[in-house]
Amino acid sequence: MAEVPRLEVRDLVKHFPVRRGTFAKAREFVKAVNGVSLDIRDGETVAIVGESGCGKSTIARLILRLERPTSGSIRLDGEDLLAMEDTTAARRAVQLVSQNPWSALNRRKTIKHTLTQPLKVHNLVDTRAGRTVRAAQLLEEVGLSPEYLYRFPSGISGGELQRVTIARALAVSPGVLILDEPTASLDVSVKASIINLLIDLRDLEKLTYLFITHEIDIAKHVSDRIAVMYLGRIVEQGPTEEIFENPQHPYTQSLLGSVPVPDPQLRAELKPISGEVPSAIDLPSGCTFHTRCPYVFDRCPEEIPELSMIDSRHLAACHLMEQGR
Amino acid sequence: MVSSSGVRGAAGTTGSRGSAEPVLRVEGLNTTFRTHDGPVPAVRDVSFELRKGEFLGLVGESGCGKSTVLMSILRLLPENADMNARSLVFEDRDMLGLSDEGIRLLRGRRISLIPQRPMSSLSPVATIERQLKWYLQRDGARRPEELTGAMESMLDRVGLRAAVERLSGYPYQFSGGQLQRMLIAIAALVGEPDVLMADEPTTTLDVTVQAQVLSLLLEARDRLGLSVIIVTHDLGVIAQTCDRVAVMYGGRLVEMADVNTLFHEPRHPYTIALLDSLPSRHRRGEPLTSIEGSAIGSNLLDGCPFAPRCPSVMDNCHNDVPEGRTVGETFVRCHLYSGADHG
Repeated sequence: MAEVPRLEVRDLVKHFPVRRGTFAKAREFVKAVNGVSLDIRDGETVAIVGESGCGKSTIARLILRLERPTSGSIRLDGEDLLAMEDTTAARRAVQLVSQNPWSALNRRKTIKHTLTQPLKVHNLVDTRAGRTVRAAQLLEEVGLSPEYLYRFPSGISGGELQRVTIARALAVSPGVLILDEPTASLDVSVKASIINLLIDLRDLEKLTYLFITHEIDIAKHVSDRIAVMYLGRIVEQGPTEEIFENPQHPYTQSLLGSVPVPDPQLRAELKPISGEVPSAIDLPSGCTFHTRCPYVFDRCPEEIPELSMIDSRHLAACHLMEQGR
Repeated sequence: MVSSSGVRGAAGTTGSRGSAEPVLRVEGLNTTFRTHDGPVPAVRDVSFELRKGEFLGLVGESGCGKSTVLMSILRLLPENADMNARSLVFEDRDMLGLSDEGIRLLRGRRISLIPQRPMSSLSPVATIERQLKWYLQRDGARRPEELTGAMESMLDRVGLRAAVERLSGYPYQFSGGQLQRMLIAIAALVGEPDVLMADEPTTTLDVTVQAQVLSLLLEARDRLGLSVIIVTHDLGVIAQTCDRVAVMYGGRLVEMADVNTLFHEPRHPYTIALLDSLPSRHRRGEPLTSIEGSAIGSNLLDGCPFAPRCPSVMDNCHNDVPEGRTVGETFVRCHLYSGADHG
């Protein structure tokens, strides 16, 4: 079965130079992404989870071509995304919904301007009247009435603004949406309605989602597969249920175990792992998790573990797996 | 206190902790901000007590007034705020009758605050050593030669032994989690506080570091016999740490109960909806129960602040503020429970 993945990321690396002075040569690099490979099939929702600084948002920026990777490749429907000369087409195919709708929208422009602009830039609708009609349709798709067309972002609640940014992303009919912490800045009571909307739109428009989040319970709810990142590498990936029921990597276990369960009857002893995520400038040798891992042994600081198969769809990068503990 | 090792959580003790004896009693607290658009009531007629040794959660969305409750008690409000209360009693002291100087002497000594953003709560231009010394020398209790030892033991007790060698560093050279531990040390260990107030203490931290800070707070309560109020919007944090919970909406306290009752027999439609919206209460991919509309402006309403979003709304909800009443073990402010005897 030679199904071409919708999005195919191979050996992606991104190192940001750190310059100590305007003309200084970079001697250090922030190693944000260190060899990530990930396939996303058509119609699939893949969540990347991890803590701040693990590189998950950098991957989003690389796929969106907001940054050039240091090395590696990204293919969209089999075509090399990084070599595409027509950036317009690339941008149309992959759209972004970001964390903070307040900063994602222009405060001086009406919602109508925000929604008609992409239609104009991408030559999707020829007439001004046609664009306005389409903008109203887009609002309806995300559950807002057409009267929002003539409003400005100020005075619109965060949840509704996030609906507007989703409508803007949908305006160009993209196949892939990158959702970078789409609910992180919203209040608890509003999160649920945005998640419902995203699930509905995905099923209705047959969208493919790359869902980047640190909210583990939300990743669990929306995704088909999960990739867990730590310091620029995927340490474990697999079907969502499998990751939650049978986490293999010690970091995945600690991460899932640290999420407070909202049920006092399931109150568990807090067993936090010690320490914090080390600097991405001086990565620990070998397995980057070895400085915090409760099961660390002599091989861990020496050798970088490869992702190895637990079963056909579940992979983890840990020396314990290879030893078949 | 060593936080890196597994610390006993409050497993098995939910709801049973805390004697009936209150250490802090708040009655009829109102705080209003004067703004260009007129007065904005942030806290309206809020009453609760904090019992000795308990972990009390104050939960609600942004703008519901939960942080303002803490700041009102500590008298740390901005110039444009007006605060009044029927009574505000700490142990047997009437806090309303205290002078600003009297309150200042309680703050940080008997009632301490752990702020939300550790980075902006420490001076960026002074070394950690200097800042710790400010607090340790505050009451002139320690001789200069004792200071280094006191600092080391303080940092050691919050699991920051490694920071002892980096005392000459500035806050920006430490991580958020390390700074939050320092602030916990300053709040809990410098004076001899009876009450610790934590305002979203883990919101800016990663989840594995959050677990460390929460277990440190639980341990501080156990070892030092503190009473803790934690303000948060995270129901997971509440469920894993608190004995009792107060739910706020639109400036009002709408429900208060012990943690098990609140999570398993919620009474107020807002609490019910909030819990129903949690992904953990739904099967994967299933539509979540959502609350339509938003909380913006709810603190300006004359009637029940939740009325515009409430699935069980009745005619009188828009006009009359419901009385607070006790239903079973729960305090609730909702017209659904008025009239009939629910005792």
